[in-house]
Amino acid sequence: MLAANQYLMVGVILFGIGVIGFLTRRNVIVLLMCIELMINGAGLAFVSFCRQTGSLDGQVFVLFAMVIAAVEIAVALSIVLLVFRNRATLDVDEMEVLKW
Amino acid sequence: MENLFFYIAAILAVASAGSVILQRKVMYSVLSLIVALLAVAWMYAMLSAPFLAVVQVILYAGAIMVLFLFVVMMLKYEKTEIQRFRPGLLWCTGLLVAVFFLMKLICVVNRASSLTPKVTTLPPDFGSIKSLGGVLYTQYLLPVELTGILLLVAVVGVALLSGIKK
Repeated sequence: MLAANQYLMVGVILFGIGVIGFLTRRNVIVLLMCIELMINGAGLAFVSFCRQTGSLDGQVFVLFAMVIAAVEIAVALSIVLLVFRNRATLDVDEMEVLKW
Repeated sequence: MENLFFYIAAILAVASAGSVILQRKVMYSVLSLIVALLAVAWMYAMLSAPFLAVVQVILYAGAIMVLFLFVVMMLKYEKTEIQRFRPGLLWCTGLLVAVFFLMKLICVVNRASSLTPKVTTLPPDFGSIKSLGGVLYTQYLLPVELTGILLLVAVVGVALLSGIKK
């Protein structure tokens, strides 16, 4: 049986790629996809810890995380549509009305 | 044999995740994210979580990515061309911060995993739908109900945001 440690590392790498993309990309839809990557990395870590300790709590957490990710993406994408309708841009550096 | 399957899934997941943040066109990013999510579902199945693997395919690679595809195809962003990375030194700083964070995270996770107790034998029905449902509807009954309320709120919010006229 393979050690759960290796799955854990894949989860961490997925999370890290998500963070890198979130901090460097400009397109707001790609930013949302990076959030999805981070959620999946965390989920993989949950499930591999769950296999390591033999309890089912982690799998339940991943289920909740999936539902919340679905809700979050639905609301976020409708906000993106609204912003695009009003400002005609998807660039995060141009969405600066709330900044000052 | 399991090793081989693990390495295929891991390489697939990491490569397509990298492709998500490197592609120039958003449509290609969406398609590579679908591949990454399917690879994660594969790893769930190998980590004795078959129900999660199925839900991952249906909910993530199905529902959520269809939403993304719809929005990407609805917006005519090709005309307003966007650069891939953030301007100036912003992307450089972001990359540095992210890499530092990732290295720290690897140390912390390694330590946590060496501190957690390991069980050698799992019960034969570990992660089956029956055992997962047993935990979900007894110990986690209240969060399940609250998630239902959250879904309702989200439906109302999205209907409001996407402009149903009075």
